[in-house]
Amino acid sequence: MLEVRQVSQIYGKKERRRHVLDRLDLQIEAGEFVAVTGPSGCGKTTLLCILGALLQPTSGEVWLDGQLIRGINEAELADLRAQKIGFVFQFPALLPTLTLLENILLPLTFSQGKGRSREDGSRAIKLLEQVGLAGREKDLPFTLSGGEQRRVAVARALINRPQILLADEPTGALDQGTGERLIDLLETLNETEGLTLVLATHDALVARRARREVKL
Amino acid sequence: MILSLQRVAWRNLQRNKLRATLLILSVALMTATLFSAYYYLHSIERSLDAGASRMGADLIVVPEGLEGSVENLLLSGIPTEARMSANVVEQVAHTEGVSQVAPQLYLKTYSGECCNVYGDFPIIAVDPDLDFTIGAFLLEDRPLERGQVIIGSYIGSWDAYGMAYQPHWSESVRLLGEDFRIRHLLHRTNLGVDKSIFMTIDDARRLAESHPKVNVGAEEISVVMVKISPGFTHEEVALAIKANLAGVDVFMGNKLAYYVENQLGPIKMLLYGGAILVLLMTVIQVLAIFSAIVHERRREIGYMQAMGATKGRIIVLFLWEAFWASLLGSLIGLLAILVLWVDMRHVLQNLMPIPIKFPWYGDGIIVSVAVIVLAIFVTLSAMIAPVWWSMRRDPYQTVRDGE
Ligand SMILES: Nc1ncnc2c1ncn2[C@@H]1O[C@H](COP(=O)(O)OP(=O)(O)O)[C@@H](O)[C@H]1O
Ligand SMILES: [Mg+2]
Repeated sequence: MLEVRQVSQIYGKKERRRHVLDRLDLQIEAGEFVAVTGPSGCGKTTLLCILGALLQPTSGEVWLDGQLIRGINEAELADLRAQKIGFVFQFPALLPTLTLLENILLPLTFSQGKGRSREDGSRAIKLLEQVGLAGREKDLPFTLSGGEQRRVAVARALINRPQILLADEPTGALDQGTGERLIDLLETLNETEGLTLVLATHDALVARRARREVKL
Repeated sequence: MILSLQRVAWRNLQRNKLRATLLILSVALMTATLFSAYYYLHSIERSLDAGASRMGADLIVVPEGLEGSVENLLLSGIPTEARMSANVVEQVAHTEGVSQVAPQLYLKTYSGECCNVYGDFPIIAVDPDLDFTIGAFLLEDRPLERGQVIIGSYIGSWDAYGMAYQPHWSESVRLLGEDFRIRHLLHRTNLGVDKSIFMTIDDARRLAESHPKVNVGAEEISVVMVKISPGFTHEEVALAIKANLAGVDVFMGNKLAYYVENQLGPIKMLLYGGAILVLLMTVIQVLAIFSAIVHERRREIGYMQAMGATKGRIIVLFLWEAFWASLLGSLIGLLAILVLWVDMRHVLQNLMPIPIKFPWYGDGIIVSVAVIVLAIFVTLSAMIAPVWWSMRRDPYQTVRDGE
């Protein structure tokens, strides 16, 4: 469902040119759990952003659901990100003055009425339960630990029912136990809901949890 | 459940209370300044537009052969012994195009003390039933009565000016051996009027009779102030009066408005200049504040794009935030300045060279709304640039920031 063909990413110009990705081929099927690994600076974030249509690669093609992501306008790109892709970044970046529930609903606010419905609220509450924070919808983010905030970020990424969840170092800066529980959560989502998971990490322990590892 | 952009924006505004307060305060200051400058000038212009009647007369009929600045003569009461027959009043009144006439009589110059101020104060007599000149310099339309005088603001001094509004204020001045109760003070005009004492013509005649040294004949007047009917030009009516009457000169009173307008020039420039400066400063402040906000939230902006927000939606989100801040700021600024204006009305009036009749309510509301709209518009426009600038890069770059 997600296919990368001969993708290269070059940063900088002239002497400062730097090949981060070099003619990469990658195919990810629906329901897979893939870990993208490699040392810091090898291009994991770059790849995830290319997969998530946040970055146009210097060359090569990205196909999502049989659609070539290229030459489509900003609004269509935004739509694509909203409908098909969920992002979890290293920093949860919850809005501090929105409640947890509102933070989870935030992506819907941006999709301009599309897909908004009365059930959104109950769906957000369900997601909060799913990530193990039942009953805390009215709390503000500062009352949560780092691991809990990341769980909310996962719930936020899922509110639009994406087919694919891209997670960039989701366990970064978390202690091992907390990190592992977050991976547990992602694994459960992958197994029970069939959510396609692509996870970037430099942590071998985390990588081992995935079904497949892509080394950069 | 729907979480609207404006609600997210409202919450975002509360993220840094101190910064939001500063932003709101600078908008409030701008609003107050804009309102003051515009409202003040608007009031002044209204007063000037109200026509020559307020400043004096459309036409001024004087005895033939007067030299020098007639405006000064008439409004200041600079002594002139030249007089003419009171019949002139009737004759002028019957000239075509004349709507109102008001005779004035210069009695003498009183040298002495009045309300703790010493000086030479010309005494000018007016007919309270006909006069339309002094009333324009008063807040209240109470006619001048027998045994009363109205004094210029210089004589009254600044203390007395405030006092004159007290209901129990009572001062009198002894003129030619008779006590006169000071009825009221005129607004400061920066013209000779400020140093004049006005009484009724009846009183003046009575005083003249009992004081042979005051050389005023029984049926004499000094000048006739004329208001013309709509549809007639100053020139037309002036010519008609000169054709009807021998031995008089006619001057145009509207020159006086120009004179005051000239005096107002620098004040206007100062006020408008100040307002524009404050406006520019606010623009710079909004730019600075939103640059900081956007910089602080740059990663979040990238995340929002990852969530499916277009640049347009993100700008709208920030626009709402700026909107809330500027709405609050302008309302606060306006409220504060209104309270101040109402409180300081008399003081401000006294500071100006012309009487100001403040346009309350109707006009005030229009000006307020206009100022609020302007404040919001300025804030929103200043805010767009930093937000747009922050999104010039790929969302990928902002997402990577700080890793
Ligand atoms: N705009 C850019 N210009 C130059 N180099 C860049 C730019 N963006 C990223 N890089 C470089 O690309 C490399 C890969 O970055 P990234 O994808 O974030 O790696 P990872 O996520 O694996 O740590 C890094 O060395 C980074 O310095
Ligand atoms: Mg990275």
